[in-house]
Amino acid sequence: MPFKIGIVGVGYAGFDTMTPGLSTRELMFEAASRAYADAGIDPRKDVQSFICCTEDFWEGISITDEYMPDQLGAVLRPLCTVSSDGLVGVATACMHIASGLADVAVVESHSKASDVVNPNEIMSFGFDPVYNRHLDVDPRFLAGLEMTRYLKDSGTKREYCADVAVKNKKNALSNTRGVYGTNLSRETVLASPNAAAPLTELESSKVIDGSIVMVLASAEKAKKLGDHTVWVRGIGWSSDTPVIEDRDLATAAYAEQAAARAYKMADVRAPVSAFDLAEVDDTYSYKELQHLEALKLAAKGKAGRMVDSGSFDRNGKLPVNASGGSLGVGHLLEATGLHRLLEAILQLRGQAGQLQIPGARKAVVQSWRGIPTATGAVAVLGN
Amino acid sequence: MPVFEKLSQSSQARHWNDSIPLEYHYTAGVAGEEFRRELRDNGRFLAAKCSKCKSTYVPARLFCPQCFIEMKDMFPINNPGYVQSFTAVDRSRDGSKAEHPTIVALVRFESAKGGIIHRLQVDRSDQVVLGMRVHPLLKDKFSRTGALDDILAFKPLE
Ligand SMILES: [Zn+2]
Repeated sequence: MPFKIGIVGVGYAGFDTMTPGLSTRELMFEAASRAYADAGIDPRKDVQSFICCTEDFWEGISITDEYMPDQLGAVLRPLCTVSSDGLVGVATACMHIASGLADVAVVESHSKASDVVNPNEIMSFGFDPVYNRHLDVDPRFLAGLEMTRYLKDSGTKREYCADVAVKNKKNALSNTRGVYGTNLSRETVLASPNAAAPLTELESSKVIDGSIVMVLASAEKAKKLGDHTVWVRGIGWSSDTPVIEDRDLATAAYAEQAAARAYKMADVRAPVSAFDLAEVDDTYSYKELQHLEALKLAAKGKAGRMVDSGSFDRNGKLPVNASGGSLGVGHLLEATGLHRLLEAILQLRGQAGQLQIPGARKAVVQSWRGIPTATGAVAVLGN
Repeated sequence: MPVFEKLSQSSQARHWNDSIPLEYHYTAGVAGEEFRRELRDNGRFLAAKCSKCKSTYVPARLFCPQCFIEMKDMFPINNPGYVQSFTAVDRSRDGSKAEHPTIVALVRFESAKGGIIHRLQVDRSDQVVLGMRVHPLLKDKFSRTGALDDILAFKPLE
């Protein structure tokens, strides 16, 4: 039987550079209340599994998972924390449902990045303590190393990476959640300050605050819950070695493998023509190109030219990051994958407003866990 | 919406500061100690070779990530290093603007996997080309500890 798990409710709060009016837990409460109203469920009665995706260092609490129950309606209920991107949390929820442990499962992830005084240091302390911490430099040096190698091995023109930032920031202008939407020229992006050469600051996404909650249900249960279910048809995740020196910096092997698994589950044979839209990680401009090629939405070395020619524009052959992505909307730390899932769900429900892609029925969503990781997840959705 | 009453004046939005003081003793491990000893005493990089897939890894480590078996064959490599990738960054770890840009490279060694990420000693990044041969510039033997900062930088071969 084909794999089929329903996403029956979504809710979110925040989506701004700062959310000083609400604590992290209140932000979550707001997002959860909306998701439960959207799904038409009572979290105290109807949910058998709650999953949060958080990191102690971003939260500033060394057992942050213990602080999750109250604001989700999860006191004295099965709850666990997955220390990874939200899309891996969705995969965990799918497993709980597929195994019969739960009929309804809830996934939450958030960013309260504005509370973190030194985010750069948190990123830096993700590097290997023995072999990678001897340099007192911006942790995005790894993005620079990857981009240099990607450009070389793929034969991609450097300008095409800037085009990714131009496209996504332009798309975000039409997104009510888009914090960094703007109209820029390729030249402005290229001339912006250096981040990690060749990567510039306008090609490097900036963190924002937000909380996102998803309600998932078994196929049987989903039929009883509303009429706007979006189906997860396949999901995969994968981690490459943490030893940066061992990695092929030019390609996103983790995304390629996660996609292959998700595609197999969903019986996607020709990815290039299988989807009406794609939301792929664009934490840095070149990442979108790497990821498009890993997902086989572009042939190796061709993603850049396709961005340049408009194939991935909102009205192009395959809209990629029509939402504005992380470059246009902002980066939500471990909630980034859930954000992109949210954007794809709204499209498949026909609720994407000005962003709506007419007749959107199938989507692919991909996440990356950020520097210094090589972990990614891919979900295939249908309505 | 869900939250009944919200703060409506920015002066109501208060916060306080706190920090988490953390310290660790990181252990380099069996292979890590061997690597450090070789760097400190002989100024060379220790590699490990997998008996199954025949891959050589720098720095040396105890197990092959591809085969999941222990690697017992460890030896210093004399193969020349080359620039596999590079970048230039203007900021320090804490986000503050540094006085000079730092050119960072992944240096690999011929016929070996892995490598070492370190500073490149060149005046400008446009002097760097991928594949360029480099060699390590080490501290003098008596001030070395075995840590990666025994290497001051990598420098292009003349
Ligand atoms: Zn091996």
